[in-house]
Amino acid sequence: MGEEELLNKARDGDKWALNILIQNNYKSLYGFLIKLTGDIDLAEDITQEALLKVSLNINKFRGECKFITYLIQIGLNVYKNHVRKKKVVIVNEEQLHNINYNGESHMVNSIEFKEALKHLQDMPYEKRVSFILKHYYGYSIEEISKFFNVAEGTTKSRIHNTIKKLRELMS
Amino acid sequence: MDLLDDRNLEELGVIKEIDTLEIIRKANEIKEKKDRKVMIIFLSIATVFSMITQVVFFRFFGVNKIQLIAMAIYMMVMCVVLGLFCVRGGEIV
Repeated sequence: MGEEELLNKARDGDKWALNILIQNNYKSLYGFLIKLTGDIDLAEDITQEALLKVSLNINKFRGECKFITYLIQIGLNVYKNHVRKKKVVIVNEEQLHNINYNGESHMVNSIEFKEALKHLQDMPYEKRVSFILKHYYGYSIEEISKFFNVAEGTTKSRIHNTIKKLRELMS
Repeated sequence: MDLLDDRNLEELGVIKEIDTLEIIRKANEIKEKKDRKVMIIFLSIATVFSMITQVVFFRFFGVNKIQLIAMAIYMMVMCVVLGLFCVRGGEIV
């Protein structure tokens, strides 16, 4: 069953269809929020809150964009609210240490993982989101520009600057 | 940076399973509660306006004893129904 058909059924109150839609997409949202926040627990909380909001407001979604884009937009709003309330987001180092790595290559992965996550957090919000959407989720410059309501040139320069800065930090 | 790819995050166990059915169930509960609240508010407004209308009507066209008793009974029944409705959290049955 296609996404549109599932959406129509979910809007009509079909819980099974809504569950499948969410099941198909929530991991992308979760991954996106981990990269955005750099905090695994916070990302889980925001994901759950965003999914709850989506479940409550699914009949308001008209299908102008992909369902995952809608999920990400709600996730970003929840994150912004969280930042506004808490002011500072502190990344819990302990939870990053708790990730299970077996063997030497995984150990190297562990260090690189933490570094990569930390470097991403050093980027300003808009640049970070633009980079994540383009690099990890294959969004086009046009889609990202619409997302932030800015000119395509601005998005291009944001992504370009982020890549440049990350290269510097990672080398 | 490819380490932060979703597939890799899943392999590392960073992305955990979320009970989506539980979230949908919770959302349904919230929706039902909201609907009940709206129902209570709606019924309260309807009751109040119905009473006001009757009072105004009887003021303009006069009222005899039987009509007054009927109105009093009606008001009492409405108040009891509304009270029960509120106590039961919006559930009629």
